[in-house]
Amino acid sequence: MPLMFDHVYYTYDASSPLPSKAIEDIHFTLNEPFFCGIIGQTGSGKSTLVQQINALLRPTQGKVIVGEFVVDSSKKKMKEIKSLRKYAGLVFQFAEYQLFEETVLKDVSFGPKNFKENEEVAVEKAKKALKKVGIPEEYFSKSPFELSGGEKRRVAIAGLLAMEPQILILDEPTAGLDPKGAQEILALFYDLYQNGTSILLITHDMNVVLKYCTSVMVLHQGKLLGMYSPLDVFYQKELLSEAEIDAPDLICLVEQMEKKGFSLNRQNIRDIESFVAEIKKMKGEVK
Amino acid sequence: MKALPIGRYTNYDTFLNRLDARFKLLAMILFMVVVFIHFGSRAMDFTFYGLLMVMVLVFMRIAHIRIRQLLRAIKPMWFMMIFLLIINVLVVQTGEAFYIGDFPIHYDALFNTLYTFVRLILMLAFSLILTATTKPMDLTYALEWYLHPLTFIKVPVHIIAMVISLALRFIPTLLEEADRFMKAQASRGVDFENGKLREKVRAIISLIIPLFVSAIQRSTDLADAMEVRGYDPNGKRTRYRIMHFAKRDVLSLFFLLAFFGGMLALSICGIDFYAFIL
Amino acid sequence: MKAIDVQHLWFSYHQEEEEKMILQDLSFSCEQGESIAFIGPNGSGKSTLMKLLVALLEADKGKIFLLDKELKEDTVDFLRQHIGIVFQNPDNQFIGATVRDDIAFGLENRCIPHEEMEDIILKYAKEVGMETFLDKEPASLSGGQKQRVAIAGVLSMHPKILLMDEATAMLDPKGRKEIMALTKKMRSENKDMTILTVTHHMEEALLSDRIIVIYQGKVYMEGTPDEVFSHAEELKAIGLDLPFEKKWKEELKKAGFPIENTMTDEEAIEILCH
Repeated sequence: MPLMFDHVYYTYDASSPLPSKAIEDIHFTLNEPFFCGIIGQTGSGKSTLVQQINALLRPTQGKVIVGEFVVDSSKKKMKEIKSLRKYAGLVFQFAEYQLFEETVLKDVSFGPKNFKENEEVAVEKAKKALKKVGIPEEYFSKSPFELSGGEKRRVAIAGLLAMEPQILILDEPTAGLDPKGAQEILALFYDLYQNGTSILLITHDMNVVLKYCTSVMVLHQGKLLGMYSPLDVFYQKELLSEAEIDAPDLICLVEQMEKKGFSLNRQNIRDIESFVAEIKKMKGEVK
Repeated sequence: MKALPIGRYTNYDTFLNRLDARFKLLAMILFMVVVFIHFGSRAMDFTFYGLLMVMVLVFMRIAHIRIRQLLRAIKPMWFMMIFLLIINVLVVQTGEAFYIGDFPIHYDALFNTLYTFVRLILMLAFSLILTATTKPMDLTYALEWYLHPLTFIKVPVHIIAMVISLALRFIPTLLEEADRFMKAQASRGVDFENGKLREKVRAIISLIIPLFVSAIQRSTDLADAMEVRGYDPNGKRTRYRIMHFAKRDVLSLFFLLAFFGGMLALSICGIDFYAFIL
Repeated sequence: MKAIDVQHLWFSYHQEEEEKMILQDLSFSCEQGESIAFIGPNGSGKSTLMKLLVALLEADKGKIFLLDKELKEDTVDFLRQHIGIVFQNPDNQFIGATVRDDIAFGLENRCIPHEEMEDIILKYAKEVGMETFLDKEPASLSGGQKQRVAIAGVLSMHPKILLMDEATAMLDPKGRKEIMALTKKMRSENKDMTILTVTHHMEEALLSDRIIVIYQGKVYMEGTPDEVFSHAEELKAIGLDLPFEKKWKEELKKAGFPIENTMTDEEAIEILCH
């Protein structure tokens, strides 16, 4: 099923003396399942864009089609919005701050319960989600406030996973985590994607985009500059400088080597491992 | 979230904006006193209310405040006013009356309500003008200045002012955060608008606890930051912001006092212009 | 003179529970003018150490010497005049209503005469490139800008020791670059200022003279960036990574190429060419 933005505009404080356009004429189609990155400077409209998808904000103009749901400027019944929010789950930045229940398990089952799952099913789903994010069972009855920052973040993400969304939207899920913690969480998302969940990932980490994403949207000042393959976008210098984005270090290295006369197959290079493999292959051929 | 009951500071460079905050605070208090003075007759009262209203409109014009903003501030009070009117009609049984069917409605009841209504509008308008033309921080400084004599009886005026200014500093941050938490919980299926009482309570809890936790975290961080930068609430400090009365403040003060004095004199002597005319 | 000398430091938030010790017998020292980066996984005790150094927390056991004076109750006020810290959250350390007022806050506490403040504020705002934002309120500044104001506030106190406690963790890449550039500039302009940085970004750690790796409340490893990052496996074991410019060379080395991760990019590419 597609995720479609049909010429979507959103303006904050539209009726006030100081309206501010956050996104303008956003138009694209993504076919599920996708692992799509959204990149752009702070203030380029990334957060505003994703909040249209689960109707936290409604387009001032245009419409968003999410599976069977249509989000536009008209008021919708809450019931419909609720099933939309179950379909497309949104994890906010620094999500650990939204925890509030007495125990980890209760907090994670809060979402399913809100969607009218009965107690047992909700707890079952919560346990499953906690397992996925790697929270051991002895933590289930602890207060979420006793956990470390990284653990809290996982619990918060589990809170959304327990709702079993079809589309999982993530706003900077690895900000502030140490390298290992960040990698584990990203591997989890990739695993979900391979099992059929669509992932929409807002990130400032271009290495992540290059490694995991199947497509990437580039935003600049509220406008969509385009939807690209991550394997191409970072070689487009003009586009990057317009969007004020730095290419990942790996891309700079590849370009540096190409200048020295190496001919590497760019389409094979997504991370250091594949880069090394590519060099090996090339050197092997030479020998 | 953004519709605060009183006006937000608007960054225009008008005469009213430039006036000293201490003067403006005094002016507002005096105007509010004037609103409550009784003159020789009811007609006189409303004549002066009219005069004050004209002044309010002039000030609002100068300060670029739209009438709509004032109307929005009054909006939540309609219900209260109607309630007050009903109470007054039922309770006030003096003076002349007219009848709807057999039911007497006394003019005094109507006028009592009207007095309250007009006074409320005027007071709201004055506070709106003050807050729209004065930075919250300057108001805090002004307040601190007026309260300064209390330091002699060991009231920690400086600390009070610091607390107010920090609260003001963090209001936008916390509002933004509340908005974010609300959206985050809505994404987890919380319905803040509909639902049974039990569900509503739950919804509020899911918002209040994170806000509380985060506010405590912020205040701890803030206390650390202040401490390492050498802040001692009881210690000696110098001041960066020092307010100076300008010529326009002195002149305005003169007019203000003259106006207030005139009003007071008219009120005390109970002079009624209309008595002369009629 | 040693800028910092930390001897056998123990600390825990809950003294009853032995296993919950945040710092366990941690010692290190550094010379004046040195810059040190502290790296380590989440919860290893780096930030706790910083708070101990500015006496926001008190150690259970052990001693801290700053500028050859022991940090104790009666020396706190004096030593705090020589040590400044920039915290992680840009919002929670912005005290004044505007940029101006925030820089002034520290000056007011130090009883700097009113007449001198304006010049000092302007000087340090310029130092961090915020002179055109003096009347802005924090709500209209980016995270990086707020951190720059925090740095200006600290610098205006002329600290001999500057601590940056994950000052870039909540910033976007642009903000992080701004702060990194500013740190570089400060180092070159104040040769005798000691700078301690706590960070998760290995690229930032590369900029310092020395790296101290903290793990489970102890010093796990210590040395120049080249030395520390030559132990790729040990770092990986505790959840840390190499910075990119080291990592790709390390991986090529593992794959059998005659490359060391201490080489420059040019050297390494040159070797690959042949």
